[in-house]
Formats: sequence, C-alpha cells, structure tokens
Amino acid sequence: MRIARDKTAGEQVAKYLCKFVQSVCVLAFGLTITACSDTDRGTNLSEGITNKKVRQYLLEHPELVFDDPEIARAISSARSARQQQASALWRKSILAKNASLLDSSLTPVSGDAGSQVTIIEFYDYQCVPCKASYPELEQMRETEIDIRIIYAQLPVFGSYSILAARAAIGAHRQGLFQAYHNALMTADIRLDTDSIFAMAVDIGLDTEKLQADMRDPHVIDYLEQMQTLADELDVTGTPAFVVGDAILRGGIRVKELKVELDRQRTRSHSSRGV
Amino acid sequence: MTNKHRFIISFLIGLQVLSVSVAEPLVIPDPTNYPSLSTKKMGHVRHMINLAKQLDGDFSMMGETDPVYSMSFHAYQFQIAFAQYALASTHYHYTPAHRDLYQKASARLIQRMIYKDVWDYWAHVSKFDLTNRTEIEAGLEEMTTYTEDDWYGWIDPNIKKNIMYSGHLLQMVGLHQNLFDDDRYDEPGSLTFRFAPIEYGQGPIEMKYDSHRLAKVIYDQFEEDHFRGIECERNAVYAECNQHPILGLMSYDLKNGTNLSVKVRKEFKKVMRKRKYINPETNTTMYFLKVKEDEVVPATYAWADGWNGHAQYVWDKEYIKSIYPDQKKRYFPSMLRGWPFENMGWGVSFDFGFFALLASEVGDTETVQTMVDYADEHFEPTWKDGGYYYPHTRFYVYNFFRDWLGYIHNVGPLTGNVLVGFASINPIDGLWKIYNQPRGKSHFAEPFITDVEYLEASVTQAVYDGDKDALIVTLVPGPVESEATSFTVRQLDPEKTYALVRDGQVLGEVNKKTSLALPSTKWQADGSLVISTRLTEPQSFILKAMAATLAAR
Repeated sequence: MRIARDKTAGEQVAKYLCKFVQSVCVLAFGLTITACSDTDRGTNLSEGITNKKVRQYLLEHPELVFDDPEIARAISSARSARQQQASALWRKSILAKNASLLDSSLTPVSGDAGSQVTIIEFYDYQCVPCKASYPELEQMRETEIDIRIIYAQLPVFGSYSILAARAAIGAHRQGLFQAYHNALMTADIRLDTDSIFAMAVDIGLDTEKLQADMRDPHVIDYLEQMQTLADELDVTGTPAFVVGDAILRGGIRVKELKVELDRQRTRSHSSRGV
Repeated sequence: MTNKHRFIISFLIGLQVLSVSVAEPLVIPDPTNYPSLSTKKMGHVRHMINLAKQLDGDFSMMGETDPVYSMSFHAYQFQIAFAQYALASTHYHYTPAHRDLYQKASARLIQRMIYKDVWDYWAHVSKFDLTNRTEIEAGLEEMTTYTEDDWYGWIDPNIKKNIMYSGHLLQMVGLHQNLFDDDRYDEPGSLTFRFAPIEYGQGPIEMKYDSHRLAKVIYDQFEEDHFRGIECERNAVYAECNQHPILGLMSYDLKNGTNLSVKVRKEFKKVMRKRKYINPETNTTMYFLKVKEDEVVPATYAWADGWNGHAQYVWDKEYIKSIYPDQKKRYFPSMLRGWPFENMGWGVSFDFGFFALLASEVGDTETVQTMVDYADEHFEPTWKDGGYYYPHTRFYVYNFFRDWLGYIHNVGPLTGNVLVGFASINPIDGLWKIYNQPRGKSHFAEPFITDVEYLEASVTQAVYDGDKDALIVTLVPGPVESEATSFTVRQLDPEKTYALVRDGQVLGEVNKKTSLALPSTKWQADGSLVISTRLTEPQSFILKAMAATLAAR
C-alpha cells in the first residue's frame, strides 16, 4: 500500500512537474543558467506558478536541465541568440565610434548614406576569396536597392597588398575607384609595382598624382586606422563583411549575403515599428 | 686704447679663431665603427615586425595551439614576447636613433599579447595540476588525478599563478615604457582583457589592468609565495618563468623609483640556492618545483638552461657566466649532430633556440655563429616579404628525430620565427645592457629619424654619437623597389650647421636657422629635415655638426 500510495503520489508529482515544465520551459531555459531577473520573480505564469518557484525547483533538480536533450538544445540556442545579440550591440557601438573613419573622404563608398543597410567589406587585393567574392558583391550592388557598400582596405598579404591598397585610395581621390578596383579585383596576376601602375595607366589615372597620394602620410595613417577598426571588430582575416550589425567571415555568395541583408532589413523594420 | 689698437687686437683674435677653425678638419665618423644589421639579421627583424603587424587574430606562420594542454612552449605568448625582446635588443644596440618603427611594433605586440586567443587557454589550464599526468596508449598525456578544487579554474590570466604569461606581459610593458619613454600603459585600463565565454552563459567580461596593477599583482604573489617563485600551472614553479617578471619589475623600478625587484632578486636567489633550482653539481636548471610535494624535479635540458640563463644573466651575470662553460660542454656538439634517426625528445627545437640565445647573451659568438649557420643549412630558411625566418616543420609537435646523417631539422615556431633570429642579433650583454645601462632622458632629446618608408627601405643602423655630435644612418632597399625614398631627421639643433655626408662623400651643408638646404633635403615647418634619395643599394648618411661652415675651410 505504501508503495502504491507513493506511486500515485509520484505520478501526481510527475504530472504536475510535466505540466509545470512544459508551461514555463521557454522562459526557464535562459533562467537556468543565469538566474531569473528580479523583475520576473513575481510574474504569475499559470496556476500560481511563478518564476521564483521554477527557479527554486531547478536549483533543487538541476539534472532536469542537463539530462534532457531538448532543454539542452533550447538553452544552447538561447545562449547563442544572446551572444549574437551582445555581439551585434558591441559591433554597433564600435561602428558608431568609428563613424568619422568610415565617412572619411578617403573611404570609397557605393550607394547612398541614407541606405537602409550598410555593408562594409574588409578585403585585400591579393586575397583569393576576396576576388572570388567580388562578382557576387557586384551582382548584389546591381540588383539590390537601398544598400550602401563601404570598401575597407585591409592589406594583410604583405608589401604589394599595402601598395595596392594605397593606390586604390589614390584612385578614389581621382574619382576612378570603381574602375581601378575592378581592374585589381579581376587581375589574374601576382601584384607588383609594375602591375599596380600598369593598371593605373590603363584606366587613365594620373600616375604622378597617384604616386604622391600613395606616399601621403594621411593615406598611410588612414590604412593603419582601418586595421585598428578591423582588430576592434575582431576581423581575423579577409574577406570579412559587416552587414548591418552582423559579420560574415570568408568568401561569400549572393545568396548568403541576401539572407543576412533580409534579416537586417526585417530587424530594421521592426525597430522602426513597421 | 686707441681705435687703432682695438682694431689690431680684434684682427688678431679673429685671425686666431679663424686659424683654429681652419686647422680643425671635418672629421667624419666611419659608419663601420657602429653596430649594423647584416642582410640576414635585418631579415629576421623584418620578419618579427611582419608578425607584429598581422591582425590581432591572425596567427598564420605561428603554429597551432597544442592539442593536449591548450598551450605549450610553442605558444603564441612566447613567440610574441620574445619577438618584442628581440626587437628591443635590435633597437637598443643597432637603431637607437630610429624609434617610431620599433615603438609601433612593440605596442602592436603588446596588443596582440592581450588578445583573447593568446591567453584564454588559462580558463582551461587553470583547472589542472599538470604535474599529475601520465601517458596513455596513443602517446598523449592526460591528467590522471583531480581534486574537487581542480575542477574550477579562473579566467583572469594575471591575478594568480600563470606567471608564464603575466611575467612576460610585465617584461614587455617595462621594456616598452623605458625604451620609448612611453607612459601609455600607466593609464587605468590600458591593458584590458576581453573575454566572451559562450560556454559559461555569461556576458562579455572585461578585466582591466595597467602597468601598476600588473606589477602589484605579481609582486604580491612573490611575497605570498615566500619568494619561492610563482607557479605557472598549478603546483609547478619553473625557474625560467620567474625570470621574466623579475626583469619586468626591474623596468618598473627604473621608471617609478621603487625597489620591488631588489627584494625579489635577493630572496628568489636565496630560494634558488637553498632548493637547488640550479643543481650545483651539474650546473643545470631544474625542470620544475612540485609545490605540494615540495620536490624539485631535476633536469638536464638545454632549453631550461638557455631560457633561465639568458634572463638571469641580466641580474646575476657573474654566476651565469661561471656555469655556462659546463652547460655548453654538456650540450655541445652533441646537440647538433648525433646518431642517425635518434629520438631527440620533444624539447629539441627549444633546446636549439634557447641555448643559442644564452650563448649570444654571454658573448659566445663562435657558438652563436655555429648555430646560426646550422640553422641556415638545415632549417630551410625562407624569405617572405622582406622577412627572413625558418618556417616551422609540419609535425613539429610530434617529430623529434634526427635525419639519416644525424642532423636535426625539426623546428617549432618559437625557434624558427624568433629565437634563432634573436640569438643572431643579440650582442654580448645584449639584454644586460638594456637593464643595467638604460638610456637616460637625454637620449630622447638627441637627433633621431622617423618616417622611413617601411616598404621601400630598411634601416640597418641609426645612432647618434654625442661625442662626435653626429647622426649615422644606413638604409638598405626594402621589398618594394622605388625610384626614390626619404626619411625625416628630427631634433637637429637649429643653431648648428650640419655637413650631410652620403657614402663618405660630403654633399654640402644644412642649417635650419638660415634655411640652408641641399637639392635632396627639405626643412619642414616643425624643424625637421626630410632627406630624399634614390635607394638601389645600401647607403649611409651622416649628419655631422660643424664648428665652422665648409665655406670657411
């Protein structure tokens, strides 16, 4: 009898707990690790169950969390979402701090300043995945409206990459960035001084002015600042695309860019209350 | 006295002054009398600067994280720290009048040192007592005993133990501050460690340090541990790891007028002697001290002797000099050549690199040259973007065997990127002089050069000789050819006229006050002088202050 009575009682407890967990598990996932916030503690969830009670129960029965793969997955997902959110906020703050660098007259840009989404591409003219991503980004530029692309030079492949980056800024000063950028991105040769200047001549750049600009301390300093920004954003190689407040690392296709772009647009709409 | 008399006296005085000036020849210093970097040494320097210039999170050419312990002697922290020490030695001995390149590289290396991937191994390693480990079937080692306490580590890499990281950071900061008269690391939060651990469900964490807090945390641990040395991993005190914070505290004392290092050196030396950290019978440095067991694990490792010795030499020169011959005898020449296919053990690459470094510091130039030549012959030296180094071998973590002729080829990234180059550059008493003959404040008021185009030119010597009132600079072409390059000379005395000499030929004279310039020079508004040149081969420049103008001669 005692056993039967206990079993009945156990079933009741189990049933209660099951309902209890089901009803609050979505909220509890996050709370299991970090403890619920003070403001939630008095919230009535259902039938008098409060977060405080949930928390107390979970503290007494932590195995409920780590023995259940579904809960573990949900926790992992919530954690990841939180991490992404924190990273996005942090990136936003860094971009805001560096607005003057990004808006500098030395920064080549495509699209309007008021565009809904800004893409910053960190790239190197000797980086193979950067070159592979170039036509994809170009396609995006032609087909998508309301986007702005910032071309952030990040020469990481040595001296000739630095030289090419300086030359690109010089070309931008002469109003011929896109043509020169296209030449460098599509060139299937190893860059050296001769090829960098030959391409400049081909597109009609004033090479004397270009040389002077490539030695301009402002240009050299600008490129150093751009590397500092890349370091702050935890860009660890090229290419890297900062899309709104997200970051995509490595070579990319239009499809992937589009997914992130849409996500940013949706969030932008939501934040505007649309 | 009549006007006639006055005129005669003035005339005679003027004649005497003129005769003194005319009699004094223009003595041009000989650049070969000053230390200069050879092509290969310059290549080593450029390679280390190239590493410094990489993105914080780019560790290409720097090997991989050790799969067993998350860190090892190949770890990034050692490569970064020793690269900074090597560049410090270069700057002090070869290019003291060329600061900006080295100052930037040093700051970059400190920035890289505090990047999370360099130190976040500690969140894992702090959990374990690594002295309790055993080899499993696969040949890997694993931790075999844990205590409840062992399961909980901590993230802050400086606050407790882990002197194998924090000691280096303190040494780096101290060197930077004193070599460049740069106070940036005194600012609160100037050494901020950022950690975003998704594993723990926590938000991002920031741990804020500066030179003062770092020095205090380390000094306090020395005291708490009764100067027996601060642990690296739990339960393991390594002698060599404790040398770096001592050097860091020496720099700190120099800058701040404290004397923290004096007590640490005195007391640590007592413990070293009492517990035989260096065995008086063999003159070899221990492997480590097991703290809980109070047991010194003895060793005869060339890397341990080289690592500990080169740094202890800075504050205990005569002692290290006295034991060096025994150490050399033990490891030479067997280190270089032995039985075909002999297993040299996991430390073979460190043995080579650290012993070469010790040999350089004590001034055994013959051994250094032998080892550098050996590296050039067997370690597949490579030029990359103006840098010269020995790329790490593919299986450097596991493959320690000699080849069929009995030579070693195995190179890890610490030895290949930094240590051999450091040894080849570092002159006798190289580090000793930095700490014991520091440059005074007057050094920073002397003429120096800046704005050398790094792509186009390397500076193999840049020194101001106060006795001769002359600035000696030698440039060699960099990796990018150019028609013309330039550099800027600062802090020339505007009152003085300087002779400009290129490759031994007097080009003419310059004077800021009278705006006297040459076709290849240009005075800037801030008083600096830009010198332009066509650089297709090495060129030396001398700016020599003159007692009289060339015209008067």
